[in-house]
Amino acid sequence: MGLDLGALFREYHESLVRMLTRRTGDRGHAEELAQETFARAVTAPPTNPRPWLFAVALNLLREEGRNAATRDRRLMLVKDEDHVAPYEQPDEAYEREETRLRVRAALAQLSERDRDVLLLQAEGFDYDEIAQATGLSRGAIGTTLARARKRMLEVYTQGEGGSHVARG
Amino acid sequence: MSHVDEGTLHALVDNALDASERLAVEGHLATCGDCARRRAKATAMARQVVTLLGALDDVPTRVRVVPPVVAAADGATTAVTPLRLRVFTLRRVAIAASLLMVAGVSYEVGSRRDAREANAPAANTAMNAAPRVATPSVVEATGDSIVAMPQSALRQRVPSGPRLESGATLADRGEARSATSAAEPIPLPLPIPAQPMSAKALSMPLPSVAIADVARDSVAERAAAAKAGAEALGRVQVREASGGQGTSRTADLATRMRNAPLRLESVVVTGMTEPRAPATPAPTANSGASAKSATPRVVTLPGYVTTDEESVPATTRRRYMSSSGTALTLLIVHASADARRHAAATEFTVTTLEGRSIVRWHARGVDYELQGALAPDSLVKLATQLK
Repeated sequence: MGLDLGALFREYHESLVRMLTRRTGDRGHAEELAQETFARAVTAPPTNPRPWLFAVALNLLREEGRNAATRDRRLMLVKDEDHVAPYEQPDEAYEREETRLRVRAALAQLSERDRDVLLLQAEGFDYDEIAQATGLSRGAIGTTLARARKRMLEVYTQGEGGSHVARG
Repeated sequence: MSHVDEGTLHALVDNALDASERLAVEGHLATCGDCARRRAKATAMARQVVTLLGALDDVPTRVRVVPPVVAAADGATTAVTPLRLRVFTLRRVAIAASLLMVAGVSYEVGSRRDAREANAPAANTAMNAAPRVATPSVVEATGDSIVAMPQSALRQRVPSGPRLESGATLADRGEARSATSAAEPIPLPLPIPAQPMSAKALSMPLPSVAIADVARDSVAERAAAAKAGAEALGRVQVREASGGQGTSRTADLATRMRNAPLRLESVVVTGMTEPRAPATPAPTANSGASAKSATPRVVTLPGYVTTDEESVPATTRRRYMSSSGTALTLLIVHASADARRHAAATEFTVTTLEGRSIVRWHARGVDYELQGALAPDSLVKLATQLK
């Protein structure tokens, strides 16, 4: 039985790229990772595709994270992105960018595991799937999510007052 | 029952408790105002987090795909040919076809120049046939990145629609091919299946110029990858353009492989075809995926070839970047099967420079150039698709 990569792609690609974009802040990077993930699915067809794909993608990301050079490069890219002229009103663009940066900052305060769980849940994963993708026990997911949500909102709310300072 | 812990509350909110647990917890909440308030809070938190995460989706894009300009005469039956574009992470050291990426060396790949020299009248006929074929579609980037574009006449793009005259053009094209074969051994750069392959072909990608899983530091494996790459190149004869004419020699692939520790960033594997016609995208199972509006009727996935721009979701029109600041676009290439067949009979000039490859070709009085941090043969394949 061949793997129907096309169906897999249609079903999960967008979600996977979105999750990875949220995680990395760089859609191009996210799409690279997604491509690589799907490429791996060809060589090792998964039986339970969704958790498998996301787990592979997150592992790829983790591997990369160990490479400082890669990280630097990505930072450069993010910086580069800032020069892109947005096609919208400057105020609105500024505000959205402000929000985006604060959400990123808040997410960055979470542990890797908490962050992953949060992002997977946001993609509609149920607790079983989150457990499969992260290796956590199912019973720990609720506690992890409770902690991650609380922490993220705390940091985000803190940023609300001091964002101008933080930005400068 | 004692108060409900946070984890359980969040599991309740996420609908992740089994029936008995849920009953017990809800029973408690019915009688405990504190816990009921905490549940309301947990619900709000869960929602707020999802909303905030949505803010991260809003990242700029710099690539846009221009409308396709190539379509078969009979648009309804045009096949959509996926082109798999594999992008390797930058850490992945170069293997296989990157052997060709020797700075400053220029190659002619699958050249038909020799064909013209050998058989000028026939080749001229072929060139004359070219104008009847629709303009290749182009991909543009607004930044400093790569682009496949005609160096002139970008504005001459024609709207998509029936373009190829079948009869005479096809006949001429046949002539073009015979012109090429008359000058053996100059093979066509890319074997393009005449008949659509089945969807199963997706799991059997055509030979790639590189192998994904070769350990990056193993000389032996890299050599093996080089061999595979050479085989994949197969019908593409790589010649060193030594400045003179007709004095080229075939490159020593394996040797170059070892001497060229360049990064391979992308490999293109041509894949199967699938019918374009009335297919609608399969409904997505996950909640968020289909929430975004403007899901095209037919979805063309990244790296696929399509004649229908509307089928390309906006989110796939992206650009990749490499460490050297060069860019690799996720090419959404538009071409009809006929146009691709025609492309197979046209010449490319390939240059590599500092890890970038440049493929140039000429069609209908227009010079085209495709650049990118790609192995040259990959780029040739892309160029072939573009034509």
